Amino acid sequence: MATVFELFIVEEDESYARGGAQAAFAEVDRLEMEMSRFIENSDIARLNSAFSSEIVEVGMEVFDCLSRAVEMCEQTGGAFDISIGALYECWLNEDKTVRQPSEEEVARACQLTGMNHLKLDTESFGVEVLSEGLQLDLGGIGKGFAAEKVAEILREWSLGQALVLAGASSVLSVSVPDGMSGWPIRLRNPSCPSEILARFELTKGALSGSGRQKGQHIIDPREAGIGPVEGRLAAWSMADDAVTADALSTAFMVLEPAEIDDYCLANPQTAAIIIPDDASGKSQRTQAMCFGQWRGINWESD
Amino acid sequence: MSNGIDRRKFMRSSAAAGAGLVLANRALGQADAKKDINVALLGAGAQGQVLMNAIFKLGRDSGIKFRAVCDIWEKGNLSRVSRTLKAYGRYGHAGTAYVDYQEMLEKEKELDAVLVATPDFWHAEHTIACFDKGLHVYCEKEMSNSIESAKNMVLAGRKAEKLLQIGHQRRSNPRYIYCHDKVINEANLLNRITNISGQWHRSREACVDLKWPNGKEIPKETLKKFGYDSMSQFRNWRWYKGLGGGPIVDLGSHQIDVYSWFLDNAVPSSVMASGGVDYWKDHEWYDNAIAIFEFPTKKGLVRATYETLTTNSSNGYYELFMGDQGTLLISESAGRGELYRESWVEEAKWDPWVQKGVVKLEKASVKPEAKAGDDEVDVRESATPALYRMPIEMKVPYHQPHLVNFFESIRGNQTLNCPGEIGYETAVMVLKVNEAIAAGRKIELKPEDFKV
Repeated sequence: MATVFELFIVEEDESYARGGAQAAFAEVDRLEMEMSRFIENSDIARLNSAFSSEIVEVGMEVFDCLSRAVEMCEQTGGAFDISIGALYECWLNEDKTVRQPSEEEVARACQLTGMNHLKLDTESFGVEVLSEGLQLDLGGIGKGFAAEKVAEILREWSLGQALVLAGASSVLSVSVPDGMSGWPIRLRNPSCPSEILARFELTKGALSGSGRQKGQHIIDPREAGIGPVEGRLAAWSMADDAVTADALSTAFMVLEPAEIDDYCLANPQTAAIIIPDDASGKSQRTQAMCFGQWRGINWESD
Repeated sequence: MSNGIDRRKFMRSSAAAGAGLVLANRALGQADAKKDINVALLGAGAQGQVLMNAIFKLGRDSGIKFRAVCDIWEKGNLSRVSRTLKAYGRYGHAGTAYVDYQEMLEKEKELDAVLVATPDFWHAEHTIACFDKGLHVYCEKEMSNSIESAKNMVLAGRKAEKLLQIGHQRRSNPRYIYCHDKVINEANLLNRITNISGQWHRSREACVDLKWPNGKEIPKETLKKFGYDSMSQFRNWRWYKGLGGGPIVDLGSHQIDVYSWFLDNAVPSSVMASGGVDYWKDHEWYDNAIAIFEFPTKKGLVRATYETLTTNSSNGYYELFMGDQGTLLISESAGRGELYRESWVEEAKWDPWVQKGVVKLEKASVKPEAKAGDDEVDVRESATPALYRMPIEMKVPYHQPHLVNFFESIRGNQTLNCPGEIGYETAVMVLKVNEAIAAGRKIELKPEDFKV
């Protein structure tokens, strides 16, 4: 995850709230050890270095997270796909600038993309890796997953009046504090930070944002052969839980507006905003497109 | 399995080589002729859960079956771990929960071994009770908070003729075994080791007292019965005299154990130390400690320093072995391992070990070369030492190989990497640090101080 988690907790006893936060952060640290692909003995690193047909026994949490990732891949028609790691390694340098791979490299990376390379054994917590070289990256779902675990711990501590921030890009409302109508949320236009795109109150569920910095590229796992494109500037998604929201914002970076519309219609608890391609300088607020619950909303002006 | 004998042979040789441990774990997963070992977890806190999870990741065919779990925190760790064990029921685990360890040992008739991960001051009583029932014991470090009790554990194990593995898990870590066997002993790349330093610096944030959710307290009478004044003391026992040993014992012990191991299990002839309760309030044990040991070895004296902090995380944790020809930096922390050749040592001296694949040259030494005929002296920065790496990774949970070593020793396929006698030596070394701080003077040690 390699990100900073923050918590807002409403509670009279500050020291008690800190105690709960400490327990929650400890859980995030523990999950990082299981889920980071950069830690050589994490479950994800073990899967990424598995040989063909090897069954890797993973922890319960990683198994849950992988199961959710499979669901989200299916739900988004492959636009969200954690097996995208090989494509990223093939097409992008570490700073996300484009590199020029050979045809063989591209073919191999395409071949290794797809959740069909992974078989989850629901009878145990074993994960079979069907193709050696598969590179899983929980970047688009791990934060949301950890945020849900944090919420679980806060509820256990009776600290439910809380907001979980996973990096700057994912927020989860555990519940709204007494006397408040919702957590105040603000979305800015990334190409023009002084411009507020939307202001609203998050009552339940989660909100997640994805975007790219100038010069960075994104890859559509469904169009693996095409390689990186500058593509969409930003996408936000709202959903009932942080895992879904996190995965959706990643998918909404590459799904066509009509596909996002379909998704939000089929899943009534979801909503999305996207800022289209940024080919000619700064995107305007008027260009932002809203979907689902946010469709047709007239955002209060600044 | 038709090749059962070959596999066992492989297990034995891999234990010696270390490098094969990862493969050995794969072999474990495929075995069908494994004798089941029934275990109980005694102490279900953070460390107990680490051990449990490392065992789960051996897979459903490991033959290791949890039968029960015991912890006095019924509404906390006990219910959490019991729930988890039940979730793994299809692996053959059972999560029968006990608050009282005596009741567990009485009622669970099928046990072969117990994993003891309770606070240090309980280790001796728990371990000895298990031996009395004829069970093997994997006991977390520190073996005990008292030298006398640690000694009694070893004696009880000998009397019962059962195995006692102490949880210094680096002893089974393939990266550490590689450094010990290959880099230091076989290739002798450091040559004469003269000094060792090491540290575990932990950030203030990671050392804040632990709390507990409202309504989940342990009843007062239970706390009292098991030796705690309060729920806060139970959660933070490591800081209290009579319960734990403070950071030098919690953190330093692992690393000081490696000092001794890499010096062929040498024991120190003296220790001096400084430390204090300088930062944290309401703690009894020293929140920072700096120790100096003198290790007499066959090759000469090795002077070693060790430092542990609980206010600052600068440079994390590692052990640094310094010889007159090279330096080895090793840490349990994923991927942290470096080897430097002193710049005066010719590259050709290490080349054969690079050819053999024992070490990999990552960055050659940058050395100014004197050209024939030059009539001026070219002055520039001094040569940087060449950087080498060990071609070995740790691909399984940190504690897993040490647990496997314990289970395979029960099955008769391996011998313990950290038996009670070794754990005892380490316990003496670290407990003497606290004694030296309290006494404010150098403490001389004799070889017999480390013998049981």
